[in-house]
Amino acid sequence: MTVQLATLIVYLLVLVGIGLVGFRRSKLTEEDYYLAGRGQGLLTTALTIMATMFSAAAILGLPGAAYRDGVAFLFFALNLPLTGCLVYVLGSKIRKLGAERGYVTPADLVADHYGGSHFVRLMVALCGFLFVVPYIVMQIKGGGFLAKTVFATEGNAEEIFDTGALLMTVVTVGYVLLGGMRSVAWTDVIQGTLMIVGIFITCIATVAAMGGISGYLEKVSALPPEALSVPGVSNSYPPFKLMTLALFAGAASLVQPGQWIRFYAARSRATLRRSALVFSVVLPLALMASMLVGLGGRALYPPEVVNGEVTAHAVIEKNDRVVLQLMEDHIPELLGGFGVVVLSLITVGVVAATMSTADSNLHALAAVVTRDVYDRFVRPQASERERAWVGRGVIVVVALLALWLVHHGNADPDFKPLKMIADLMFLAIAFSAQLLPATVDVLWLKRGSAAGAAWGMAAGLATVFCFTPFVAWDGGKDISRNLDVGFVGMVVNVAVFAAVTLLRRAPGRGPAPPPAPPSSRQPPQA
Amino acid sequence: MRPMARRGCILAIAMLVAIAMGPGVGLYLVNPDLDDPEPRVAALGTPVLILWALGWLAVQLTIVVIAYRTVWTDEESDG
Repeated sequence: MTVQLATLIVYLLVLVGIGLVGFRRSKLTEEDYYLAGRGQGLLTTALTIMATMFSAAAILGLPGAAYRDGVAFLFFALNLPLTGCLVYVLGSKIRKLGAERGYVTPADLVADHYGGSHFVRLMVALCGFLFVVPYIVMQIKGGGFLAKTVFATEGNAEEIFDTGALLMTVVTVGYVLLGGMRSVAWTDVIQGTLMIVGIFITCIATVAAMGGISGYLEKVSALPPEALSVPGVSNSYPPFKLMTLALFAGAASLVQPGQWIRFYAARSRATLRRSALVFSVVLPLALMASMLVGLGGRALYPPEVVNGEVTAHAVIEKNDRVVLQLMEDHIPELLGGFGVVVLSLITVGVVAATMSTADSNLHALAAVVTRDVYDRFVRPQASERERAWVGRGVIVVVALLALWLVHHGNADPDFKPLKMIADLMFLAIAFSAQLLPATVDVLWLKRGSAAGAAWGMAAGLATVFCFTPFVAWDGGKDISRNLDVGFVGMVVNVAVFAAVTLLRRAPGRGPAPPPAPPSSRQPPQA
Repeated sequence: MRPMARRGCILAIAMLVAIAMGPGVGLYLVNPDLDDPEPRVAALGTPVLILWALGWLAVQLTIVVIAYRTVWTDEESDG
């Protein structure tokens, strides 16, 4: 534990150092704070997009899902090559428009296309908000959970949880405040590298511990048939649901504010083209490796299954702990004395997964609140410098609020606000997906109206909300068992978008107004 | 249609087919039948669905590499 603690302290100090360097190189402008001057190169762009995509859920939760459901969940990784293609296809168009017209947030681009509509801007901001806030809160909770898992001893678990959550929040907020996008992206380079290398080492250690590739395959082939077929042990992944997830979940993750801002920040189209290739190859392989660890864990520590309910093996305790358990069991075994150091680095990599997602979302939320709400509805006369400081204020307030929620949620398991946010996190990508139809219209079709786009998003968000536990609707469970909820919302979204647009064009109503010219405050760039 | 646009369309269709076959309805072709008393869960010593997932992942990655080399451009004017 001493080595792990020392490694973690060194890692956190490095992050603070990066924050300070970012601060020294920054200018007090919005474009610099949110987009690093639109000058990010290949390494930072590729790794910051991947690190933002790979949260603690990906490192711990997805192998946990493979442990629970077996091979069926492996197919979730097959959404990533298409997502990588969209990094180029969507990203290069978004980057080009952003550079030409000085956009900073997704709503800048979408609302500007629809004549500066406030309704469209608010709906785009709401899609982003519903994605970002649950992610921030749950990543901070994840930091506490990790600290408890790695460092707690008998009787001090709650204190360690709170300390871990606090330390992670303070360091993350510190470097985001200091250097903005520059610090976030540089730290993402370190965090992304640690995560990806850590996953591959853990996969190799697990396979080696099971007797090499042939031993691994032999043991996995001996799993119960329901763990080697779809829809999986808990009956959660029928093929049509896997297919709609593969088609839309990745795209929905790319239009959330944190990723959209990264497209603006890329230096050139070539940067995004190469980043898309790196993403398409590295991330599916890493995710596949992490899920193979989960499957190996299922063979080594079989869970108990009663009527489709899966209870983790006593050693694992919780499904999401399978990666941590296998790391502790097999990395020192594989690498000897050096294994302790590698294990510490990989543990830091898991912490990095939570921090890299939290920092990107905090930073993006600041941009959304400042540009799409404060600047438009509170103080339109605010200077750019004032808006940059308001953004920093948003980061501090949201982080403190999240920390408060996590602290109370840890002390009282029935604390409702945190449970509500956890429920929303489950559908965060589905909420984000509701921006996709308007995005496609803005970038390619150019046939929709402002009212159509805004009411489409509102209908899509309302549809997804019907699948949350806040709405007692039995039919929702049947639908969500067979289809991706984001896809269901998008079907309603597109139908309303098209209907409202066509109604606006009905005889006697005149054609939909053409897209407005750029209205951004920032001058076009060369 | 320009050759590059045509190639882009073909690759997009190929990617959709790969998704339909890999993580989609194509799974019904190979999914072990659990009603069978001895379902065929493995082939060549490997779970069938792992082979299926890795195979279609390889197809998807091939499509991405071809698109990268022949369709995606660095020139802004291609929009």
